[in-house]
This record gives sequence, C-alpha cells and structure tokens, in this order.
Amino acid sequence: MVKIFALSVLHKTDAGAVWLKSAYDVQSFSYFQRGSIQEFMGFVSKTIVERTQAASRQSVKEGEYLCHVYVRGDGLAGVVICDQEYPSRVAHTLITKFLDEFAAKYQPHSWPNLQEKDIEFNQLNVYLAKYQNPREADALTKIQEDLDETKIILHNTIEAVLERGEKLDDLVTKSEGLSLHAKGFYKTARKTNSCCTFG
Amino acid sequence: MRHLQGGKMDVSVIHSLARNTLINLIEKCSGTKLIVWESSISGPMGLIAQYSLLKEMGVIKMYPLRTGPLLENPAEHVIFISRPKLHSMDLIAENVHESKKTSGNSKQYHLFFLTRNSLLCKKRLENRGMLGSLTYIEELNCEFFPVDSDLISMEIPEVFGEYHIQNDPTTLYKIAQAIITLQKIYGPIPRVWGKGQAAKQVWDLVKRLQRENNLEETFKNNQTTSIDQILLIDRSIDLITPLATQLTYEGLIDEIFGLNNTTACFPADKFKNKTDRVSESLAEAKETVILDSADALFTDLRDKNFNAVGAFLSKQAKLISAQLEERHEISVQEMKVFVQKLPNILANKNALSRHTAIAESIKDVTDSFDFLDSLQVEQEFLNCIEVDKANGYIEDLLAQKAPMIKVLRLICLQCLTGSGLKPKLLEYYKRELVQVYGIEALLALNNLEKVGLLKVQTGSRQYAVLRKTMRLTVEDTSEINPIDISYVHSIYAPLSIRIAEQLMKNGGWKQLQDVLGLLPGPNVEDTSNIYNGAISNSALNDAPTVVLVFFIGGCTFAEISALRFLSQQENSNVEFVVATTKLINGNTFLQSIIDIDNKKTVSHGI
Repeated sequence: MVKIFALSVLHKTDAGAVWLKSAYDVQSFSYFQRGSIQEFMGFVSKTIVERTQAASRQSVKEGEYLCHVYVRGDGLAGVVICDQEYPSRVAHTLITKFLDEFAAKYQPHSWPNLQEKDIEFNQLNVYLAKYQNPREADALTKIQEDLDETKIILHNTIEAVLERGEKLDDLVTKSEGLSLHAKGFYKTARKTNSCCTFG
Repeated sequence: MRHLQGGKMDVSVIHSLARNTLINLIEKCSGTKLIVWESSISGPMGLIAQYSLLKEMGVIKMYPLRTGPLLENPAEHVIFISRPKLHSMDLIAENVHESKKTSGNSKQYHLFFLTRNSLLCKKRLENRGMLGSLTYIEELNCEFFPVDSDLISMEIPEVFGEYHIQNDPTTLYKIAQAIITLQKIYGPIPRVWGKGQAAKQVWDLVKRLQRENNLEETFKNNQTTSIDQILLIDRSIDLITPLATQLTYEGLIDEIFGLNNTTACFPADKFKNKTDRVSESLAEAKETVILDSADALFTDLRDKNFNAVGAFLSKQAKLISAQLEERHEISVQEMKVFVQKLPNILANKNALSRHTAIAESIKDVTDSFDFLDSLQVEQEFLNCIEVDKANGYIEDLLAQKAPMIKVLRLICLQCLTGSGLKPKLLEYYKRELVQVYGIEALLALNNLEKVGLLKVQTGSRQYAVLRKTMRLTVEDTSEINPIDISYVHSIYAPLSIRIAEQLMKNGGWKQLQDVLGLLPGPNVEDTSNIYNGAISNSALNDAPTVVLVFFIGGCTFAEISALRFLSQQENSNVEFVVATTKLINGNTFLQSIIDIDNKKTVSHGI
C-alpha cells in the first residue's frame, strides 16, 4: 500500500540544514510510537539534506522507508518520506511542486531568517493528504493508467471485430480442404487415352 | 467504376458515354417517371446505371415489360425501353391502351429503342393505333455494355441463330455499326483480321458504311488510336469450344450457377456461419454476389483452373491470419497503424470468406459423379476416342431422361470431334431423342442441323487434322501453373484462341493458310484500314499492341481467360481486349439456337 509519511521543506546553507516546515501523516503507527517516529523523520530529513549536493535529487532507502530529497540550486530543499511502493517519479514531482509554491510564497532572501513558528504553509498538509493516492493526484500516472486501460479496451474491441463473420480458422481449414482433394480434371480421361484411339 | 479503367482500351469511356446518353434521354421528360424495361435489357443496363442514379432523375418505379395492364402508378411519364422486337411492340401497345383506360390522358408515354429506331417496329405500332400516343420515340445508342476493363458485350443472344438459321443478316449490320462507334471513340483500327462468313460480311459492311458516311475523312484526322488490330471471329469456325465444359473458376460459376452481367446467385447455405447454418431452413435461400475486377481476390482467381483455386485460397487465408496475429505483440503506436490497416484486412477476409463459400459450392458439383462422368466422355471425344459409335454414357443419360440440353451438348460434341456422325448413328440418336423427349426434340434437332452442330460425316476428318496441327489437345499440362492455354479446359486448347495465338506469333495469316483452309468461311485481312499514318498509342511508347478480339456469335469465359493468359505471358507484346455479341456457355448457346424461332426473342431492328 502506498503511503506518504512526511513532507518537509528545509533550507540548506553552508552551515547545515534548517528545517522550515513539515507535514506528517503517522496515523498508521500506534499511538505511542507516533511522537518518536515524527522526531526520527525530522532528523532523517535534516541529515539527508545536509548530505545531498545542491541542485540534485536523491532517493535513499532507510529500512522500510524511502526518502526522496531534492535540493534546489538556491538552497531550498524538500523531502518526502514514503514507503517502498510509492512511485518515485510522483514523489519527486510532488517535491518540485511544493517547493515552487513555497518559493512563490516566501521570498528567497527571507529564508535564512525564517523561524518555524512564523511560517504558514498549509499547502503541505493538503498535499500530504492528496498525494496519498498517487494515481488520482498525479496527472502523468493518471494518463498512463488511462492509456493502459484504453489499450485493453482497444484490444478487446479488435478481438470482437475479428470474431465477426466467419472465423479465420474455419476459412483456413475449408480452403485446405478445397486444395487437398483437388484431383486433376484431366486424370479422369487419362486411362482411356492409353488404350484404343480412333481417327 | 474505377475498375473499368485498368486496360489499355479504356472501357470506362464506353460506360460514361452510355450513361450520359441514358441520362440525357430520361431527362427530356420532366417530372416523375416510370420505366418499363424489356426483359432482356434490364440486366445489362444494370452495368451502366444503378437504380439509385435513376431515382435521382425522378424514376419512381421500374417494371418489366409483360402482358396485362400496367399497374396503377402516380408517374407522369411512362418510358418504355426495348429492343426493336415486334413482340415487344405488341406488349407496349397493350400496356399503353390499358393504361389509358385507367388514367386517361394524364400520362405521357415514350419509347426508347435500344439501339436504333426500326421502321418495321414503328409500322407495327401504327397498326396498333399507337403512334399518336407516344410523345418521344428516341434511340438509346448503347451498343456495348462494359462488363469489365477488358471486356465489352453487346448482349444480343440471337446473333448466331438469326444469321445461321434464319439467314437474317440484320444483326451483322448492327455489329458493323457498333464497330464504327468503337472507331469513333478509340480511333481508326489500322489492321483487321477475321475468319468466317460473318466476319467477312461484317467487315465489308463496315467499309461500306465508312465510305457512305464519309467517315474516312473524319477518321483521317484522328491522330492517335487506342486499338491497333482487330480480329473478327465468326463463332461458326469453332463450335467445339463453347460445348466443352469450362474449367476455370469464372467459367464454372457460369456453367453451374449462371453469371449474368457480373451477377451470380448461389445457394445460401455455404455462406452462413456454422452456427447459423443449422437453425434456418435454407433450401430456397439464395446469395447474390457481384463478380468483377473491383473484387481483387476475384481478379486473381477468375482465370485460374478450378484445381488451383483451393491452394490459392489457402495461401490467402494464412496470409491474413499472419497479418492479424500481429496484433498480440504490438505497442500503442503500432496499434494505431494496425487499426488503420484493419478495415482493409477485414475486407480481404470477407472476400476470402465469400470466395471460399463459392468454391465449396462449385466443388460440390465438380466432385459429383455426374460431372466427372460427363467430363470424361467430353475429354474422350476431344481426343478423338471412340467418336464413331454410340456412346454408352449418352445412352444412359437418355434412359434416365436427363435434361435434354445436357444430352444434346454431348451428342453435338461427338459430332463435331468426329467431323460428323455416321448416318446410321445420327439416325439412331435422333430416334432415341424423339422417343425420350418428344416433339420438342425434333424442333431442336432441326435447328442444330441447320447450324452445323449436327451433320453427317462427309469423309474428311477436319477436327482430327486440326487437333494435330494446332495442338488442340495437350497431355499432362499443369492446371496449377499453366504453361499453355489448354489449362482452361484442362486438356483442350480453345481452337479460336489457338488461331489468335498463331496469328499474333506469325504476324499474319500467311503461315496459317493450311489451317484456315480447313475452317469454314473466308479469311479477312485488311492491313491498311484508313491508313493515314495514324500513330497508335502503343507505337509511340513501346507499349504492347492492343488487339481487340471480336466474337460474332458469342464467347465463353474460358476463352477470355485464355486470352488473358496469352497477354500475361512474359514474351508476349500483345494485350488482348475482348468484345462479343454475348457471353455464353454451352447450355445457353444451345438453348439460344433451339429457341430461335420463339417470337419473343426475334429481333427486327435495322
């Protein structure tokens, strides 16, 4: 089952990564574990961003989880933590998307000075909820799905059309039958040719 | 009608001309129309104009010409289209009088003659008090019907009978006029060959008409011509070929089911799917199929000996099967291409299905003992085996009271291949025939004798000599990959086509003088018809010589297939086009001779 557990926006500087905003979905974990998992994810996100070069993407496997990270050239970084089944392409598209929105909302020059409590970015939560179902949310996946479905329908339709009229196999058999039993028309007279001839 | 354009002599021109003539005439009457067709015409006219076209011109209904009152109809004009036959004139008079009784003067009546006005017919109409009632009496000049891209037919069955039995040369005049029309369309024909009395008379008439109407001047101005040579063949020089059973695909369709104006009717049961077959009662159901060169599969199959058809269909089936199998392993883009090809593949599959059903229907007949026994006797006769004594199989047929035409066909073939029957044998057969079939046999025999299909031996064995010199019978010829025209009858090469073959090979009659001497009637040779240096299209660009072979009295599909075979030979530089007064097979040919005195068929046109 595909699941996203966390979305985070961070700012990477030479001094390290500063965590700006996150959204978590830890419903699947038991009540008591939730707090510590959240913390753990926060820590993982920070570490990963620090370890990722600017202007690059990475996907790191951590136990059962997959962390997708994208650090932009201007220092803004996004992390998505999800399970192994979640399509990585969708995850990266998601990161690009919410980073773009964040950058539109908060000017780049303000990033070094932002405090977490000042930031209002509910979009993260919205995206977290929406992208739980990658198929619905992501246009590209949706199109691929539709395409596959169309292909199957097309295939079935062609089959149906071909079934119409006489079956091709029947025709193959019938025509073979026609050619197998074809005796030469002249053979019928041959035997009499060899005996008496007149005139 | 795109398929008519394929050949060197563009038949679609004839089609358009005929169609336009018909349209112009019909449009002379404005308002709703009812057309009454004489029965022999409606079929061939279908080759020119479909009902949908006529509907566009205001034709609301069409009826065949017959006795009895014309059915109630709201049309303003009633158009009769008929050949100039006295019997038809009587029917028309009857129809008009009856119609006037019911509808008074609300309608206009017209008569279009196919193809020329006839003084005699007009007189007859006058005698019936009709002349005042007919508003337009016009000529519908449609001399040839375009059957296919290399085949045109006048569709007049009585030509042979009228000329040879009734000594009525009127149809020859019609044929001469038709040839002049052809020259007007395609240009003057520089070289003319012919054999037989009818051929000579026709050509003499053509020359006379050309002189009388000063056509030579008009033709001289023609710079190009599509037809290089014409070969006129009088049917009476080769009566054997129509009597031999045709063994080509198209020939067998005509022999067994009848192929008229490219349409044939088959029993429907082979055309249904396995599931449908059991549920319906199919005894009377018929499937009508159009067979011409627009059907690509038919074009491939039509000239083949029937024994080669199965293998070809089988190959086609496998080809289509392979094409369709592709669909399993292709990507989405390839699928788009596949879907575009699909209608074509499906059309091929339908054609395959249709022709497989037809072939099966034919096979039912050709596998029957009846057919094979007859064929064996035929082939014995063609090989001059036991032609001098009463044939046991024929006697069996008589004892079983088989259809008279079938028996007559075999007896005539025996007579021709034996160059006549011994007097005692002929008497014997005649007696048996009358005993079994009654007085109608006597009438039939009378006509057959007049035509030369039945005669007494005179001493010279012409057929035996011809058989050797012209190689009419060929042993062991391949039916599947033929090398010689004899494949059309499996062992017998049509005499008429051998003559054409030799003529083309030798470039003239010179080397064939001995052979020609054995055949009845004079030779025709005219190598400077309206010679004005008219450059033939073929001479201009090294294309094959176009030779029009004109059969006066009828020709069979097997003969046409044989000519096509010759055209397709690698070393041949000739392209044959066929014109005929009628498409015939052995049965229809004999029937037209037997029926010649039947007034319904007699034509009186000039």
